Amino acid sequence: MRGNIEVIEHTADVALRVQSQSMLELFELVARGFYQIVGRVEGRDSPRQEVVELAASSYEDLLHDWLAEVHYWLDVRQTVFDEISFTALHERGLIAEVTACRFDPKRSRIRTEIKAVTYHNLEIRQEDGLLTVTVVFDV
Amino acid sequence: MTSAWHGPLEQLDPWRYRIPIGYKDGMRVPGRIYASPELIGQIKQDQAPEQVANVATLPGIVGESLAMPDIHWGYGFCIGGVAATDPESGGVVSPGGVGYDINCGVRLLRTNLQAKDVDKHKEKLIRELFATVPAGVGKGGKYRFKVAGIRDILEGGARWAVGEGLGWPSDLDYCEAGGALDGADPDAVSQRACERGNDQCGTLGSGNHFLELQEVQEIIDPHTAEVFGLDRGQLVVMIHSGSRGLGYQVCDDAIRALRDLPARHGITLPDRQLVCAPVNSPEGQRYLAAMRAAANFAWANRQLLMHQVRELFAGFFSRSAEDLGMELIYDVAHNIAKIEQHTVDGRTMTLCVHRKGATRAFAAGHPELPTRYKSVGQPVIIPGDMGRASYVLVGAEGAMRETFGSACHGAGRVMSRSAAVRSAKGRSIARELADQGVIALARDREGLAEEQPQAYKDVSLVVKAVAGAGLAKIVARNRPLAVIKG
Repeated sequence: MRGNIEVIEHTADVALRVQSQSMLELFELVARGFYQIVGRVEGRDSPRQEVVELAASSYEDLLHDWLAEVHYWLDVRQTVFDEISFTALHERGLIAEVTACRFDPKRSRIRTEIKAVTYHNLEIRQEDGLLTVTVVFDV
Repeated sequence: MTSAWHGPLEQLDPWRYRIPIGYKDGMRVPGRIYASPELIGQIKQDQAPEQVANVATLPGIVGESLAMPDIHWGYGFCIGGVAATDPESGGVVSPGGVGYDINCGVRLLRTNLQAKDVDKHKEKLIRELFATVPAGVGKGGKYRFKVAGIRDILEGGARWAVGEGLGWPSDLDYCEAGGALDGADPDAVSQRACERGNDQCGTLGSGNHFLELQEVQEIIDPHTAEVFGLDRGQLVVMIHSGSRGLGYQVCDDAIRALRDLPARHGITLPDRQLVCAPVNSPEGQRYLAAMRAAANFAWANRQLLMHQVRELFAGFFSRSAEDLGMELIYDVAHNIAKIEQHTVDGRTMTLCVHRKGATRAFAAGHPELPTRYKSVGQPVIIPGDMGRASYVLVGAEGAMRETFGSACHGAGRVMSRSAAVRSAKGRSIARELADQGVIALARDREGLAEEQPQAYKDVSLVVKAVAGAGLAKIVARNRPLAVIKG
């Protein structure tokens, strides 16, 4: 079963709730959900392969850092990850091979400027075989 | 996140509410919320009071964990939160007590124009400002810097800008901290933060940032208004912006660097966003050095924004900005941590004061005030929403006695962004505002809908509570004429 992405309202910010049966898919889906909140990018360049390598001391911190990385590539490098494949993902770190595409911000419809990935109530819960996480973004 | 709060709240008097020290394990001091019966019901609709209680657990906290009447839920500290810690007794500094948008703040500049004389030009004027001042999502500006250039800004803040000819020397006298905090360390700011900020100095940003033409509608304290250079009917310009992507990255970097530290120091935190370090530790000092650098970037940002406004006005009216009397009344930060001296139980203490969505409000006589304002106190600039009012207050003795010289900062949202966009379906927010005489421009309809007046609390109630509690006095009320939303 493919996991689930839900964008949740909050008074001043925006949150994402993601559910999945696997940690690998959870990490992929939070990135997809991030892009869903941001909007549509257009004017893509040719794709290229990149590697993202991160280390942390818990899955939650790793998830935060992963999204922060996705954010950095979007915000500073005007690049999105079209395809994501984790060659390693465990509590202490991840290695992701991504198909990265630069886009043209002038031609894109960026709906929401995500300013930061927060740690608010950031906890990956497991219940009935399903992993759930809610991430709050400062916008 | 938005569930109602049901904890104990004791009303002390019409303007003060206490969360008792025993409410939550680990509270070292009580919590105190400044509010009114009209506001308190709304305040209890989210978990902000719980955050006041959480802050009360911070090591070295002095006095009480405070919240201003514009209190609402934030990350770590609530918005409207104020807390002081004593570095000498292991007191901590927390990035959550400053916020992601380090030195988000507001400045007000006067003109010698009357709003009524400009009325027929205001649409053209605001459209020219809209075309000139970069605003909106991801928008970079005309001032771009390599990393070496950014170092100067991180150290010099508004002083750097004035040195470059992008302002007047007198601007620095009317800026909190003289437009730059000493002790900023550009080396404590990451490459990523510099990358995020390199084209954003002199840009408004998005969200609730704005540039607004206002009319001074009512003078409530004529003597102080005269000292501030405010007059009924006068056209003034208010600018609300912060440290942009650079500040956000500095905060994120700091939280990441500190997130495992509390456990190492034996500190148990009720909320990860309250991550902290002892002020006098290397980690605490590093955060403060980076925060100061980001704060300086924000002051430079607002200085460049003001410079662009002055240049445009000069071209528009074919008179110099000096001739138009476009002096800075004051610039205040409302997301910052500063080392300040305050009197606590009769003793002078050097404290780390966190203001998160709260404004410094020093009373008359304070040595940090510019000479011209020493007799009355510090201007406290309170932006409202774009349909109602903004205010100018002046710091009062009550703030010095009770809140480490602090007051509110604005109104606070009551409606989510998406709820605001939904409620605007079938409506034209721009037309509704135009019917009230306000021209509002934003990059798109959604941006304007998100920032509609109904999405915010009534700032008049917030200001009334601050004044009622004696933290600041109301000097003037301004009404919006035309606004650019970020």
